[in-house]
Amino acid sequence: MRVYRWLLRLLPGSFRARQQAALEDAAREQLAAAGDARLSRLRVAVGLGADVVSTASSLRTQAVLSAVVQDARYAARLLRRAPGFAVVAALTLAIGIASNTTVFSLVNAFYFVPSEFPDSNRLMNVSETSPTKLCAGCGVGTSYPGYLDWRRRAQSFVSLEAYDEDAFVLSAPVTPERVSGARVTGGLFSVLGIAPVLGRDLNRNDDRPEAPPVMLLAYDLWQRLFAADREVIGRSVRVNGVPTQIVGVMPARFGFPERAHLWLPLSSAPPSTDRDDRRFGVVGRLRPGVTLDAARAEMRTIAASLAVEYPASQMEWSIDVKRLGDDRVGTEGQAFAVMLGAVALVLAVACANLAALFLARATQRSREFAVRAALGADRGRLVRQLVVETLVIGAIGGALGLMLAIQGVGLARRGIAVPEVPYYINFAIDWRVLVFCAAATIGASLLVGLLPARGATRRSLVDSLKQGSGSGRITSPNQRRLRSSLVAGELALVLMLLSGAAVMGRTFLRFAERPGGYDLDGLTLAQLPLAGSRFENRDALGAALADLTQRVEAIPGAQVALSHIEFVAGFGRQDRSIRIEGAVTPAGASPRFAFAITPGYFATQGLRVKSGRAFTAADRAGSEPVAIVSQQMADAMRPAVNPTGARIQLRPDLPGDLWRVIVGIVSNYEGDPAPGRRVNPYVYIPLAQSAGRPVDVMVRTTGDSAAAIAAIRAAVSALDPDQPLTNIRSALEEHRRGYWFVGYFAVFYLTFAVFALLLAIIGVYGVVSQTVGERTREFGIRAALGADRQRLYRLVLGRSLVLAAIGGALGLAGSAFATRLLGWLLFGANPNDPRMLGAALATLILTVLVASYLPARRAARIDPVIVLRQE
Amino acid sequence: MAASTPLKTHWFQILLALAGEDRHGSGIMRAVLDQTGGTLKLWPVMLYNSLEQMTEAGLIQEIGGSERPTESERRRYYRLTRAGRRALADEADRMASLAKAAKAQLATRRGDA
Repeated sequence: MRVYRWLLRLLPGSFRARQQAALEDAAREQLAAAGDARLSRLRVAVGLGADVVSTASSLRTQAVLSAVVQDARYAARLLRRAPGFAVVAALTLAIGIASNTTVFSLVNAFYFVPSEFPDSNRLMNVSETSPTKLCAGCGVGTSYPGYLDWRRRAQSFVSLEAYDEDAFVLSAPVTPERVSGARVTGGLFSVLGIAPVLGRDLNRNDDRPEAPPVMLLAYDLWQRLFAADREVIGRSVRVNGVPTQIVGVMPARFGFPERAHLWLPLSSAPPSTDRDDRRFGVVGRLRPGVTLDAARAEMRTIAASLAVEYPASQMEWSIDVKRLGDDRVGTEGQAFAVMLGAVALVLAVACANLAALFLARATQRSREFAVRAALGADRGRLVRQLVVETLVIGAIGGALGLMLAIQGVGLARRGIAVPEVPYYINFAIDWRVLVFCAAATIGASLLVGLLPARGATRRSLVDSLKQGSGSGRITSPNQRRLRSSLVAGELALVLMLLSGAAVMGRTFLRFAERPGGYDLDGLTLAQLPLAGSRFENRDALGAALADLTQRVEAIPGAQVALSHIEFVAGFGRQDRSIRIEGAVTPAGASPRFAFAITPGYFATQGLRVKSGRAFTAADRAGSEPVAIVSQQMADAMRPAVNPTGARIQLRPDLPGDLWRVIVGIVSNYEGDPAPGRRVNPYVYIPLAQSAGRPVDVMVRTTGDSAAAIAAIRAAVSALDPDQPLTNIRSALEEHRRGYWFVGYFAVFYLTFAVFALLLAIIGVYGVVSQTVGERTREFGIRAALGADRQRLYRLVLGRSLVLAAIGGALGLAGSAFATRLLGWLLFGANPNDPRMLGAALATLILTVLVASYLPARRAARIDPVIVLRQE
Repeated sequence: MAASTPLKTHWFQILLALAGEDRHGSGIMRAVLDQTGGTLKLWPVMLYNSLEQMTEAGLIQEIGGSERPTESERRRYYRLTRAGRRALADEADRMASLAKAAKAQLATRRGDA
């Protein structure tokens, strides 16, 4: 019986109160009727228990369901009666939800990239890594002999396949064009699990040196160059001048490595046997049953034994194994994640606003609640009513928000269709985005609904009734404080967003202006790959470049400069530096690149020679080796040596590296918007003394560049008709493409800041006008006692300004912290630029004043006679 | 009267048990057990829950103290209301017409064969 009584507690309280005695009697009777036989007693006991549990559960569910439905109906009715409130609340939430959902879908696209490879989490990227060499800890690939060693020794993988990214020049029968692609081992695509849609895959036979030259085309290239002609298989196209047969076409939306459009077997160029030439990417599929850790351990062991066998090249190198998709989260993804933080602020502002709205409403309804409580509604019931009401608003706001977000994602998709975004990034609303949207909506609604519910249901009936109905909607001091702090907090968040937007906008404008004062308008850039065996010999290349330089410098009406980038001592390695004759090289004096340039380069680029001289035609191969350093590099060298006239070696690690005399100092190049940019030291050397390829072409013209480009083409054709001039673009365009991200960020940020500002206007307006409403009597008396309008204005606006000041102070502190999170996105701009913060603060204060003006006017126009008559 | 919506079996049996005389909870339980030849046992919670719901629906009523057959007992007695009697009759009609239709159907079937 005791158990039975305990079980009865499962039943709803009211039912139990009415029937407990009867139930117990009945149960006792049934037990008695069962007699003494154990089995039948047990059967009755089980029956009684099951009876309680089953009825209790059905009663409970019914009760909750019907109550919620009832609450929702009641809420809908109330909201229909206050459509203004419902619309403002739902729109407020919709703005918050829409911004967050949109940005989340962008983050989602970068972070959760669906892999196009079957069973992709067993696909591994295997690379050499070194804590001390090259790029300090990053994976760099391996050499060809290294790859062969791995393939022979490693047991963890089904097979290991290698690829080498390269660019190829396609010509006859197609018009010459440079296409990025890769040389790959025959099994690469079968390891990835991707088969050609047309023709055959590459295989091991194609890897043999004597195999006939073949290639695979990417789908888009097949469509573009061959109009998707299915008869293309078996046709021959020149690749770097060699007739090569097309054997297959890969599927659409596939690229591996990601920007490759063309694949040739490794045999198309004999791979270098230098173990320091780590140019091959390696992928493998784990054998069934082998874990990532086991594979990693095996490869480390192999690295250790290779280090013993080939100490010269393998010392301090290890091997790392990573999932293939792991490096797909780029800086863009991180940037969007930072932005998600920013839009969370928008949602927070929306929530603060909503909370203030609900709070105000709850205050208005405190009489209703008090009466309902007096009539027997328990507190839980009233809280539930309020929460259900917010959830109803939340559902409307969330649905609206999702609709807006779909538009937003569409905008983003159209906006961010630039070549920098890799093919596998796809902005869309998927289930993750939907879950996020739902969670944000419900979370925000509950947060907002529970806050006012606490205060509103706690007030006593007597208090509420005592206040009467006249001017009775007096807020308790507690609630007034809560509402004011909500608005102040909201203003702080808005200021954080505003200052972020201001700083981002400033960064954007800095890039939109001519960078570092360069005139990019008349500047056209192009590239000359000079691929093919003809130019492999350095002397032949040098002769060709000398010839070409003469021809392009003779083009009338245009300044043409050629250049080529050499990697020098400072590139990627902390342990190497250039050598300065007779001195220790100071830190920061080792450039990463040397620009091998023609004499016209500085003039074309817009750099000024600050001291010494520029290069001339007299700086030839065979004349004294010379160099010109940038101002930055000269400054860095100065503690050790007077730069002009000093002699330096750029690659002291190479035997017989030339000593070059520094003959001039040139102004710093401040044009590139590289992430985390600082001014780098640069060194320039004559192209004639350091021939290399590919060659960058820079043309400055006053008007249309087409004639100059045609003339350059002609000059190149005279050299070799198979050579294309590729990647022709205006420098301004190039520059803009470099900072597209900054632009998007500035626009996004500004949009969100404007949203937040709008929300703040609503919030401030709401609170101030409510306060004015509550103080109508007081204002009336003040007016009667002779306070003039100005005074009343000052009274209301002064209060708003106090709110703005508190919010502003908090916001300044917050933005000092938040703008730092923007980090490299600022490209070196000062995150706490006082002018920007000042502008943001001014905007905020102006907004607060505008939002308070109407209520203040209402206060000033109060007619004391009317107010006092109401008493 | 919409005789097409069948009454819950429990409710029908409870109404039936109260058709002849007023009964208290245990009395109803025993009567139902008798009526159904021991196949339907109303466990206490289910019984009292049904009684409450039926009272709310106006089919039965609890009878006041003066009308109780034995004053000493703290048991509560239940009586059919007019609506309850009507509902019981309707349900009986519905079942009868159902039975009739079924028999007719079976007869024609037999005729076909």
